[in-house]
Amino acid sequence: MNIIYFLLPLALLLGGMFVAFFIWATKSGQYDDLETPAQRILFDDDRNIK
Amino acid sequence: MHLDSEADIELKCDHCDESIDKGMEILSSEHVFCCHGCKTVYQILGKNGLTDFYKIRDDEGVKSNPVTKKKIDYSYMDDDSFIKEFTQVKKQNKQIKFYLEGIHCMACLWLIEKTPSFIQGLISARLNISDSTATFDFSDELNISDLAQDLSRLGYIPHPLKMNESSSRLQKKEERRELLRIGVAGAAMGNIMLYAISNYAGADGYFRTIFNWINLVIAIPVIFYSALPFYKTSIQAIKMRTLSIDIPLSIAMLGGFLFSAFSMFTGGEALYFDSITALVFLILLSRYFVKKATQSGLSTKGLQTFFTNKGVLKRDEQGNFSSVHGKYIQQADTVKILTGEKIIFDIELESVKAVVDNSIITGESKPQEVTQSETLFAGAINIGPEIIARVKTIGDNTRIGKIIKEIESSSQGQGRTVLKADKIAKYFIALVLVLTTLIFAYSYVTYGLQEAIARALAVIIISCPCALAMATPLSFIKSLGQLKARGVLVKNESVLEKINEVKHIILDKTGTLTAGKFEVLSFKNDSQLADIEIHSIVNAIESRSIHPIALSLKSFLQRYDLKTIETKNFVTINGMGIKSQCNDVNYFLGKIKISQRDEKFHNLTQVGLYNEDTQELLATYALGDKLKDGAKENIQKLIKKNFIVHIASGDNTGVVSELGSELGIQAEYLHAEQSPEDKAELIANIKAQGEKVLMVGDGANDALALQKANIGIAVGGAVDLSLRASDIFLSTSNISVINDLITTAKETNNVIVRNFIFSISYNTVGVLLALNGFVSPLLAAIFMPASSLTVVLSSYLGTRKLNRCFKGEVL
Repeated sequence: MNIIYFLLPLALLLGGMFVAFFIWATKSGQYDDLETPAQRILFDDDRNIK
Repeated sequence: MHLDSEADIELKCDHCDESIDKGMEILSSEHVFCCHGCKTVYQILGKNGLTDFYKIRDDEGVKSNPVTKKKIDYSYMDDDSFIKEFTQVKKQNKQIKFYLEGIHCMACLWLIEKTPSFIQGLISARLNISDSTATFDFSDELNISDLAQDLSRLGYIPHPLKMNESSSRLQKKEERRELLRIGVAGAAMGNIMLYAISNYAGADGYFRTIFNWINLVIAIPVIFYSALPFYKTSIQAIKMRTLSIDIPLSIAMLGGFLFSAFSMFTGGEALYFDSITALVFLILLSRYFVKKATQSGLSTKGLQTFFTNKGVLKRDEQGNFSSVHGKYIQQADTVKILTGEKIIFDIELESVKAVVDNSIITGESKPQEVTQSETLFAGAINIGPEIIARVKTIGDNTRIGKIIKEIESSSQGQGRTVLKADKIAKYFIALVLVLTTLIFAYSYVTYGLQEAIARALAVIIISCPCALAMATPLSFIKSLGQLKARGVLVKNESVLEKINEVKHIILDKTGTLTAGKFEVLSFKNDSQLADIEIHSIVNAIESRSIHPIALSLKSFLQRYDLKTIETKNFVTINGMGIKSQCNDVNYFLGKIKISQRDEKFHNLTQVGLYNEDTQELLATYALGDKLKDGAKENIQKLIKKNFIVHIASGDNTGVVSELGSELGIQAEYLHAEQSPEDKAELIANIKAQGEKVLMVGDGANDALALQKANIGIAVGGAVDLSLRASDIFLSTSNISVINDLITTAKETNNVIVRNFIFSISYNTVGVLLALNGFVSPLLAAIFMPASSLTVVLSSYLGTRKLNRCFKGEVL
């Protein structure tokens, strides 16, 4: 059971890291629009633009 | 059968895919279009190598918007005060945000974001599909009005959104903060659950204590960050001396946390960290989804009269006309109004005659003739030759100015309506609070303070109105989302509830039931001459006329490649038509003989071209305002559903009663010659009888009525004014969605009631258990998610009828 003394802080650290990631992503505006980027990626590059 | 085969081939517009009536098509190098607008868009796209639009659109299986035939005047967007209010400076460029009417798919996204490649001065365009807003960066080369005009030519009608720096940034910040609160609560809930489950499963001794401590620490940000909005609304509610569902929620959250922390220090076992974090997360999430599904951005707030923001030709003392800005015009000035120009003051005509499109204020589709010294109201568009007039009133004192002012002031007075469901919930909350106090008092006397707090909190957490708080928002999410997918944008979910109380439905005629334009709907050639010959002759005869019918005919004939024909001996016969000589033949163009009228078009104006010498009818043009497809069936469905359907129109009695009998509406519910003020009064009268009114309209002449009605629905292509004054906005011009809307509202209400029954019965069982001392954190941990899940499932499943409606079945 000693492994738990290693795993417990690791789990909390990972959890904390993901929350930090989430906060960063939100603050940098990545969640402002959830629909459009998903569709925008499907367009080919500007092949028809002169 | 064989004879019909030619007619069976349905022509479809190459741009908008709408079917085209025979004889109305416009041909242009292998392509067919339904109108000039569509042709222009096709050409713009072709010229700029953007025909991929059609490929993407076809892949998506949707139609592009038919190009609006209404000409919209955007010149007010170039005024300094507008620019200051609606744009934002970004580096060397400016930025403006529009709500775009008619966004539905990937092809729209593609096209909008490609606009910088063909609009001069536009630097970038970003579209947000989920709320149909687009942000444009542009340089000084570009006038905003030109951008707006180009967008509307592509079929997307732009409505400017406030870009005022501080407010838009605040809003963005607030949205992100909401998301952060949910994210933090969600992460905390997940982690706490891991440790809580270990404890419920039987972890003991040292680990149990560690797990509890971890849970306590993780719960802190949830209670003191994520749950802040609940405390705020509770305090507000207490200040207003009313009950809100947030009060017991706040007590459960704060009390639950403090008590759990307290019992940890004293070695107790009443730990509710898992339940309270789940509570915060679930409720925040459900409220967030409802907010996302409504379109609250288009409010009447800041609705200003930009009508006067344009140049006007003013006469100076020497009698010369020079262009000055509209705001320098004063009463009694003399102004000149050119063809196609919008009149921005109430004026008295000095010219002998004028022809105007007055539809913005009267809703009448037919152009109007005005004679000397009659009054013309602001908003009318001069479609005849230039006129000279004296300014009577300006600004807020014009008729339209007064209407706008009244809309603004009456919308300010309205707070957020309280849902009926919330009112019921209030009684339940009161009951829970009273019970809790009683239990507390009773346990205090019998078992002492700690046990009393434990039991009271258990009651409030177990009976916690979690499911109750989620019952209404959840029911709305699905309905609002589905309605949005159909082009029905609801600004505030409470209208879905209000629709169920509606008894009277008032429909505007022009633009709502009909296409809203007086135009040639049919052409019949009875002569040996080619169609183009006939058209050329008619065009030649009408060339000098400014009669409303002549103007409609001429705009119809523009689409053909006409020959120039000399005319002689031009005679106008008042009220009848015109006689003229072309190519040595005498022609008469005008009222058709009653015996020769085509009964198929009995409710249209028919104009015939006669050979004056032989009295032979050569060709017939039928003009009118076309009834929208499906209008008749939908109105009859509404009547069958026991609604009292009214028509309120600015048009004359004849037109309205004709329409009424066609749609099967009784004469007493037909209201003709209604001014904007009359429509508002009509609604006020019905409301005075204690009945609820739903108004459907599109023009500026409906804006006041839309605001006054219990529910106002603005139909696609509506002018900005009525769009902002309404509660619901249909981004399609198809009025069949009104039926869907009513069914959805009714069924959504059923779901709410069902959710209420579920949650209240859960809560009652919970309270009974807690009362009898069967309280433990485990019970709360099972009870609360179970009740919430039931409500979620019930909302997700909807009702059979609701699902059928969403599948597109007509009910």
